[in-house]
Amino acid sequence: MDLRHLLPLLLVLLASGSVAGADPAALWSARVQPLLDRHCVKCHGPIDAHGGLELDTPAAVLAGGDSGAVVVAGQPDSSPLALNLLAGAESHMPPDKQLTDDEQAIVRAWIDALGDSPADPVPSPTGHTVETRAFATVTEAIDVLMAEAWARRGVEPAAPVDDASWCRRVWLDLAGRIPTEAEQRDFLEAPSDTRRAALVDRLLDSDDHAVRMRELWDVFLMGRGKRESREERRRNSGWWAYLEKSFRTNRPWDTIVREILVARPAGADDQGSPWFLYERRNDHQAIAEAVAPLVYGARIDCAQCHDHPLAREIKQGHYWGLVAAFNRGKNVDGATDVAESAVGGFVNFTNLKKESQPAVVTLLNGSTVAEHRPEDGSPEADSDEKYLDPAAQPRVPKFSRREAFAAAATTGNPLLARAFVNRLWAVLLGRGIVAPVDEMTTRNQPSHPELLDWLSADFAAHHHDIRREIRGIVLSRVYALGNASASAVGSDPAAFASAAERPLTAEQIARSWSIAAGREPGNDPLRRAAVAAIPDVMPREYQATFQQAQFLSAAPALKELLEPVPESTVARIAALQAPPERVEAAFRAVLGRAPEPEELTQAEQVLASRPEQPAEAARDLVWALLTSAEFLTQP
Amino acid sequence: MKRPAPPLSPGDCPRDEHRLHRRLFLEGLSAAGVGGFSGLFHNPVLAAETKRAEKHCILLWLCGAPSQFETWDPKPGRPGGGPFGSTPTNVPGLHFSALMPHCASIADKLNIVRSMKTAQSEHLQAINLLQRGNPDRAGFTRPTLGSALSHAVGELDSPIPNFVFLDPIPGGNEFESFKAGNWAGWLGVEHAPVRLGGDYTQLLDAAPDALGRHDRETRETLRKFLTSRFERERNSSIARSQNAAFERMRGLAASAELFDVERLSPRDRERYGPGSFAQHALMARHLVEHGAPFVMVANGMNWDNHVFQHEIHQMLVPELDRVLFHLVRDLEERGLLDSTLVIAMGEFGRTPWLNAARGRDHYPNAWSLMMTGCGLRRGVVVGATDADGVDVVGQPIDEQNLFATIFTALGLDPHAGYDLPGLPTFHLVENGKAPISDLLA
Amino acid sequence: MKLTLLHDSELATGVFGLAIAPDGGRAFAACADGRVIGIDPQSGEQVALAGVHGSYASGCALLPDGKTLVSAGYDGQLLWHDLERGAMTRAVPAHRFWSWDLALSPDGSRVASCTGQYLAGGWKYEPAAATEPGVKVFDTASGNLVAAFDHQPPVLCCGFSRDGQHLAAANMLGEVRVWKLGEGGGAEPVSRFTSPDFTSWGTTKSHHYCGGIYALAFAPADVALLVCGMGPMGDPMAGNGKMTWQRWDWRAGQRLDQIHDGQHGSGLMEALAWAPDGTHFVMAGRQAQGTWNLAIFSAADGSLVTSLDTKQRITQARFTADGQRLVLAGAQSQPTPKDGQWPSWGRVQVYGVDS
Repeated sequence: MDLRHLLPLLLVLLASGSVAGADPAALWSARVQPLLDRHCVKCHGPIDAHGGLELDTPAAVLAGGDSGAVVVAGQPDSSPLALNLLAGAESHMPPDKQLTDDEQAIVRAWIDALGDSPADPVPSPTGHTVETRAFATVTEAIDVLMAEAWARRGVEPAAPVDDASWCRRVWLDLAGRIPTEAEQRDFLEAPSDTRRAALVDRLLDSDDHAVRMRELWDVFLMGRGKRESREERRRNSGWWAYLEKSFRTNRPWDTIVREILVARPAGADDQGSPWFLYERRNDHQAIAEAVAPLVYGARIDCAQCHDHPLAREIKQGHYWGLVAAFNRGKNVDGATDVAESAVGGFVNFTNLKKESQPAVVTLLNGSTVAEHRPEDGSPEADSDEKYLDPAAQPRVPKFSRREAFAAAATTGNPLLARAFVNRLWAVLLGRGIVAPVDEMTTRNQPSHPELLDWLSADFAAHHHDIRREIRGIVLSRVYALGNASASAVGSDPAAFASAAERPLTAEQIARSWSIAAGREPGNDPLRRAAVAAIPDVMPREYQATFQQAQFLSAAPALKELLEPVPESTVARIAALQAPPERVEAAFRAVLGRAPEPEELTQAEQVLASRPEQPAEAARDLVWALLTSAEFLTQP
Repeated sequence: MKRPAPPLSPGDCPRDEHRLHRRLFLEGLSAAGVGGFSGLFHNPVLAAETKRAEKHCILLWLCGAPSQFETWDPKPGRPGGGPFGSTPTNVPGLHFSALMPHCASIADKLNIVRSMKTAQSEHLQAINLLQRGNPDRAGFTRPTLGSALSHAVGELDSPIPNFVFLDPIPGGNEFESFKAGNWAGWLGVEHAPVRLGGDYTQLLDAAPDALGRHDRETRETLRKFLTSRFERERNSSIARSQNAAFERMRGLAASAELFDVERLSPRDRERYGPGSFAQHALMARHLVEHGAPFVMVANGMNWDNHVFQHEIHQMLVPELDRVLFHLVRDLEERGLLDSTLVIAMGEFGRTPWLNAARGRDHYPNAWSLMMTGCGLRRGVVVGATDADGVDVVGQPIDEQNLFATIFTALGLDPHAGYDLPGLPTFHLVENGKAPISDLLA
Repeated sequence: MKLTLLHDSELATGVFGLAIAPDGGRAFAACADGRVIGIDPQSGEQVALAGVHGSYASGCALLPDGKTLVSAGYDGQLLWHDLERGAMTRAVPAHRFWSWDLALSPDGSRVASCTGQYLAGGWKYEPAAATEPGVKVFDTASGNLVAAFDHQPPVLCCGFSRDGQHLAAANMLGEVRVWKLGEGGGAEPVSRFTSPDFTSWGTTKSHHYCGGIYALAFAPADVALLVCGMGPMGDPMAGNGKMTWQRWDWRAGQRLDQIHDGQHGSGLMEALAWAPDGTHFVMAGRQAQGTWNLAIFSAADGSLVTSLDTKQRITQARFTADGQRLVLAGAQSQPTPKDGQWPSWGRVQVYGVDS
């Protein structure tokens, strides 16, 4: 049994003050490593080792520094690592800061625990289990492995959501909108044993799904275009069409990644694929920084100037190697193409110590792309023979760095599948198996390593089939969980014991508002206004801004949506006679459920405040429902 | 150093004044009935005392970067000096560009730094640098000046936001990207700016609307009820955050008239000038008079004249000249200049040489800015550039020296640390960089 | 039609104004350092005239007798230079702001200069109203002011009709006003029209205006007025508006034609010149994108006949009287100084025109 899964138990023990028999490896991962990462590793780690001491791994700590050992196993009172943390210590650490008593206690507890089990103080970093179990489907794998994990943690998963909520959840996730009342009714009336799979299959096949996926991946790959002109250019260049077509035809993920990295569209339909590179306007570093999370699952921005301060496997050479893969590229004026030179792009990079090294196209696993490097920096002469067809516009070099990189990054690179699966999980479950999603480094352990390993290997083995993966996750038990009860507050989100909070994106909100308000879909001014006010997709931390409150209160597009035009929800409700009827109709139309008793009371008060103007009262009621947290959150 | 306060929960009323404010809000006191923000203080003497003790900062953010040759550091007769020449000021030996005659007549109330030298030559990075005052550290977002001051000198429950950002322009290229980014960084969204100006102000419902006040309150009551219920049932932080944002907005709506350009005195509006930047600078003065700690005024990224430098600076500089002249004198007249720091700057300067498109390009190597008011002397010129303005002569000043000066002037210790549990140690200004001692009073 | 570079002279600072002797044997360059330089294009010899402007010299005109040169500058002054004696004989403070452009009447008796500062006039930075007349006409013999006309500032260019009866001036908003001179003329323009195709109002970066009509020239028989500039840009700081000329029936205020699609790049066009035989005209300026910064167009149908990339910004173009040579004034991108020494950035070039 893997020691790491004793975590919660150990935390309880630690909190209760009892540390006898505590496992140092678990303590290290859970408490000590984060503490040292924050306060110590900057000067005692991969970048700098003051006093010859590194503190980023247990082995490094135990190895000590220039003045000898800093830890005596089992004896915190003889260990400089603990003693120097005390206030007033002669060689006080950290300089300029004082760790709290609780923080010092963590270090002491770990040193104590080392005394009990000195062997093997560190968990294996990547956690690949020896035998890979077999499961018939993705869903089965998820259900079995999650159940085992819950059992190990001693955690009781929340009850599943009811069918109506499940239906709404799936519609939002797959089609990017709430179901109409009719669509929800159809689901609830369909045979219960097959309706879920049938709905999922139908939605995955829909155009709405392709658009929804494009909306997500446009932001993941390119960032939210924060300027109006940016959206137009993404559309006009064919980038959106390219993404939508890729998702509509269920193009394999590795193919998509290869196409956008190579940026040489084969057919007219794929004209937009170079936009991934093109929009970055020859900023090769920006390109490298965008490519890394895609093919490695990890941002490597900080490796520009020095090796990654925490994740030792990410070095400066990787960063500049990635830059080198793309720095022969150049945007073509007037066309969405990225030309590539057959020569040049040989750069050196320097670290903080001003030591200079040449940048070589390098993958994270250390393998490099072989190429001829000119001697002593003399520029290589360009010539027509170096290109496949010198007259082509743009011409393609016989040896293309970015093609070589793209091939290496999408074949035999397990991190490609792993990064995608993790992100997809995060989209659907609210949190990645590795969190944050763009930090899949050796420092950041997956909460469910066997599951992630299995899903990644299975995804790669099945042609990186996106739809199959989505289907597998969405039909699982963990996806269907309800929300935590108030009593379960404080449980570890990494346990996935209940549904995580997931705010809707602006596009989901705009479309769903149109449906809830009984108005025509495709309201572009509304969508644009929503995107401007609520731009985030999967933010690390949800922060409702003042601007968002302004938008919900006073946006003209939203106000227009609530006009009591014929057939609209507001008009329908106003036409009903009894206030309870109106409230019920409003709740069903907007939230897809009946009101609770106290909600009914409050809502009736709103209607009662203007009895002579039913349309205005109905409008106020619908507004409050549309802007409530419940509507703006995934059910 | 003020500690970051825990977010207020509904019903949390830690102070008498706050309780009074909330009661007045909930009673739906209209602005007309109260006669301005100062009416909310029940003790006029206390109000005056409080205002004097407060510190304020107005940042005229000249985004895109003005040319130092056409403003504070003219080089008349030099090949790169441009066509405008210079004018003497009322400080002997000191000249400004001939486009700034008004400021020249009050140069003894201003301070010019001519030896700015910074490391970023592209807009997004330079705006970031000059707004945050320290180079980035990957993985952490340092608060901008406004957020830092909102935290340090702002009042927790003031109806006026601690950080007001007036800019009517939705766009602005790289500035637009910056505007959409994270201003408050590790201080949290309560120190993010409230953005007003242009259409952003209209959303405050300052102007009468089809939706009457009564309706807004009724439906908001229901929205809040539903969201609070959701928060309780699910322990939802999304719901909590949304209610907090609406609370801030409601608080702001109570002082909506302060943000209505139409309500400024016509004489004042005429003095400052008709452009949106000038009008918002006047509004900034007005907000400071009513206690706002930090107001930043911008107008998109209009100074970035790579094309038609002289053709556009001939319009922009006279406007700035007029605005600064009236702003500084008005603040002084109202006894506010000693408690208000006024800064006029961009993110770098412009090249001494003209490009083929009649423009000047970016130049962080040697540039100028103006700052005066609270905690500073008057009539000082810091540093100099060589005959053509190609390089700084003597000690260069960078963004860290600048921010150290700003914080010191406002009575803050620039090297104090932020108290951020769980984050590495950060200071207001890193590396112990010193303020510009020549400027400090 | 072929253009061949015959002579190429470097001048210390950028050249903004140009006048040539009709045979092209002498040229006068109004330069950024305020000086007017007389050049012999063939030998390259340069002599600075005695009168110096207090700011950029922006225009110059050689009177028909070849003995007097009038120059104008951003100091708002008109200077008279006696070329034989090598002295400045008169300084007239024409405007409070710049002289943006100087034009000479065909008979050499009148010189016109236009002015106007762009100042903030409204919330959206509409130009403020004029505080002085936008165009002034002076007698070249006496230096006396003979006419003053109002126009919305900044007024960027002006020009006389070939019969000397009319004067046109255009501004940053693309508005052209035409006045009748002499007998029967009055303060009010006899015609005014606006082309919306030369002016930008920044939506991307900022709210202000820029651009406008930077050069104008009456067409043969004075039926049409040729104007040029740069097309509107969402981001004025891009400088990449379409290279544009338009021909207008100035009496009717109707646009007759404009540069053909596909025949232009982008960049500010600020020089126009008619071939003396009226069959062609030249438009030149700065290339932001494209393949040329000077092009010759057929007067008959407006199609592009030949083009050239001189690799610097062209500010003025003048045909010799026989139409066989084209003299260009230019300003390169100002190079960076070394040890206080600024490399030259002005050019005067002579091209042979081979039909």
